[in-house]
Amino acid sequence: MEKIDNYIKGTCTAMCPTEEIKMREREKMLHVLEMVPGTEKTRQPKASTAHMVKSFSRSAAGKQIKPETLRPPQVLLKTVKYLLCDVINTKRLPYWHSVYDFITDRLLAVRQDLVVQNVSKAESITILQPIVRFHAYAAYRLCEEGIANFDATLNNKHFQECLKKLLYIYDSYDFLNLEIKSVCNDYFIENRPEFEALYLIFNLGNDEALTRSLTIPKKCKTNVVKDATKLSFCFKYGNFVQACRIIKNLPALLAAVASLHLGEIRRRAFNIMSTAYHSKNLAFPCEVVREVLLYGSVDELLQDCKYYGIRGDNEHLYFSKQAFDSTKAKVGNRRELFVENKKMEDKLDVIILGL
Amino acid sequence: MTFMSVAHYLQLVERYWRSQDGAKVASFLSLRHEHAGYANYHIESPEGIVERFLTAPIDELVILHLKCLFAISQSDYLSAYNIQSNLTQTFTKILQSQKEENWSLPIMYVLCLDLRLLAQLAENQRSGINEKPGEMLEKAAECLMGCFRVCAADNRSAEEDTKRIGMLALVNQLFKVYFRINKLHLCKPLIRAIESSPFKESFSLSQQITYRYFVGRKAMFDSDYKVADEYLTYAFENCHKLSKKNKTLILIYLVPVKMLLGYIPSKEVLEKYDVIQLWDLVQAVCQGNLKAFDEIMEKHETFFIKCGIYLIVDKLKIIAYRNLFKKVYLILNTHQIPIEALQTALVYLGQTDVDLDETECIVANLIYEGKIKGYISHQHRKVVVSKQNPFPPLTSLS
Repeated sequence: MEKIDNYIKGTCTAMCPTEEIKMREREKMLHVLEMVPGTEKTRQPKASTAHMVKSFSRSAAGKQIKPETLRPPQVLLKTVKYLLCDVINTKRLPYWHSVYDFITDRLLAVRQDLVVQNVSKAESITILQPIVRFHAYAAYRLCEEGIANFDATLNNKHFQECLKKLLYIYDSYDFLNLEIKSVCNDYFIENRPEFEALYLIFNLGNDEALTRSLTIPKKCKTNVVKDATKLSFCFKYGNFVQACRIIKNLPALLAAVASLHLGEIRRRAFNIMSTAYHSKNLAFPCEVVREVLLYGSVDELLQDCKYYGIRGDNEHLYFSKQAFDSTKAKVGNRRELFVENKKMEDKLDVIILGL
Repeated sequence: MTFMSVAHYLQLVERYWRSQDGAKVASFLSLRHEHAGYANYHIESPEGIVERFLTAPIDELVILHLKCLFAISQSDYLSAYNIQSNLTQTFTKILQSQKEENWSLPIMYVLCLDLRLLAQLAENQRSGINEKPGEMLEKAAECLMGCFRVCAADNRSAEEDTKRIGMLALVNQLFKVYFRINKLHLCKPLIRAIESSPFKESFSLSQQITYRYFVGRKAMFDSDYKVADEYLTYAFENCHKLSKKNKTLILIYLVPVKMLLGYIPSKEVLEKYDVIQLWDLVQAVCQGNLKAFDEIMEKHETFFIKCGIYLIVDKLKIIAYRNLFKKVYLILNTHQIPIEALQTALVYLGQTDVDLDETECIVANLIYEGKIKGYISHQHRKVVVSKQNPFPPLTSLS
């Protein structure tokens, strides 16, 4: 029972309303990616209409939304595809974090249009899925950036918000009557396991996420969801051996998001090992730890060990209960070799748009 | 079939309000009282008739109450909720204006309970794409907080007239909301308010039991098992023996908590309170029988999830590991246990994908938690356990 009638319907057929194009050209508020090439450096850069995308602006109280400034679902989908297929690979900006800033802002405007028009469940699902994947991917790709270039917390907020909304729609989708479902032919929810797994992995060890995974319909509990659930349990119980094994074998995007927890997993592993392998005479081979904890190289491993106060040389680590410095926070995120090897950057359209 | 006439009802309300009989007024404003079911009370526009009998401020309360009954009779729970919310807020203002008196607290209890129940019904009735789950309950919680603030701020009145005695009932209502919408972190300031209240011991026993039940459950989710044990035990022991259902409910949480602390519940208690599902679990954990443990988790999955104890029960597996390894240690009768022997035991009990590295990892965790005393030699693939007390009793760990 969706109350469709009460919501405004957009009539804007371009990615950006004409009104906004004129205004932003006049006020010199065009993004480089929206300018006609060659005019960027001029005093009055020209708007390249085909590349203009509606920018995000907070809805102010009392401001009437005009239908001609709103994009209907098909146009929103086209916009998302343009951003996440073309813009994402652009070479016109020197840094990818600038590309990220542009896309994030424009996606925020997409989400705003989505909410205002109360778009149908099926269409919302189709639009939200790539947005979620984009924020997941960015969380990993930019994980080494400083706060000046990339605000991980803010990205995580977008990520979590879109993901939760998506899951909520899936849930209500379960209650739709069969008639509608047969029309949709389950096409819209066939990706659901991927996103259920993403939610588990993004919120690793979280009780609420775990409880959810236990209660979702049986047909959604595919192998990837089962692995993600197991991973979350392993994380909770300190089983770093199996946790890392599962992470290594996850599909690229999930592995990337999971790798963001490695700092925590490794810190805990070192803490546990410092107690359990505490000995004056015994040594632990570096190569085994490197492999178990998914380090790209022994050097990286030794660097972390040194940080936590664990003694080691090129061959062995010497664990000692007293040496582990529990006051040290986890090491910052790294782009991990085993994720880099999955070469996500070469097939972003497949990974993010699911084409 | 009719109940007493509305006119008669209004006269009674007027009389009870004037004589400050909070309990009587409360029952007449309750959605669960007998009168609520009769069609002559389902009035769309009750202003006219109410104004003939009642004056401010009670008139407004009754008008809203009757409107709410009408909305419910139309199965329009969203409107009913909004009216009840309005009613509660109107009452909050009246409560605030009643200085140095607390006779109207029973009315507050009834309004707030009805509000929460309605919010649950309303929650199920909406299904727009932009609505967040739990939104109605969250709004209800805000409304309850309004009452709570009035009560908590009443620190001038004498002890027998203080509204602060109403705080616990509200906190319990809020707990129910927060547990339902999974926002347990919001319980913390409420707990602090009650724990620091000078009336901590003066609240009614039933309210205290409810309170401790929820605080115990929250402590359990926070992995603070000692506190959970203390609060749930109080609730269990003080809960009236005829409230078997409530005792069962408490026991469902108390048993896993006790087990994590190293205590083993008796079969008689579990049988008496119909939670025999937990007995198989107790046995599997005690024997270190991981195969049986996995089977029980699968068999009773729905039951455990429904009670919200799946995650904590699953944690007992760690204790099962400890008990199994202790058995291997006793059989081999050596202080240097080969990891391979432990792995063999794991595989034999259905943990087929566990290899030596993972077995070591499980042992490492047990040593780290103090459940095994000793250390691991990776080179020799052996656990070297302490000569004294290598498996200290779980009750000795905190």
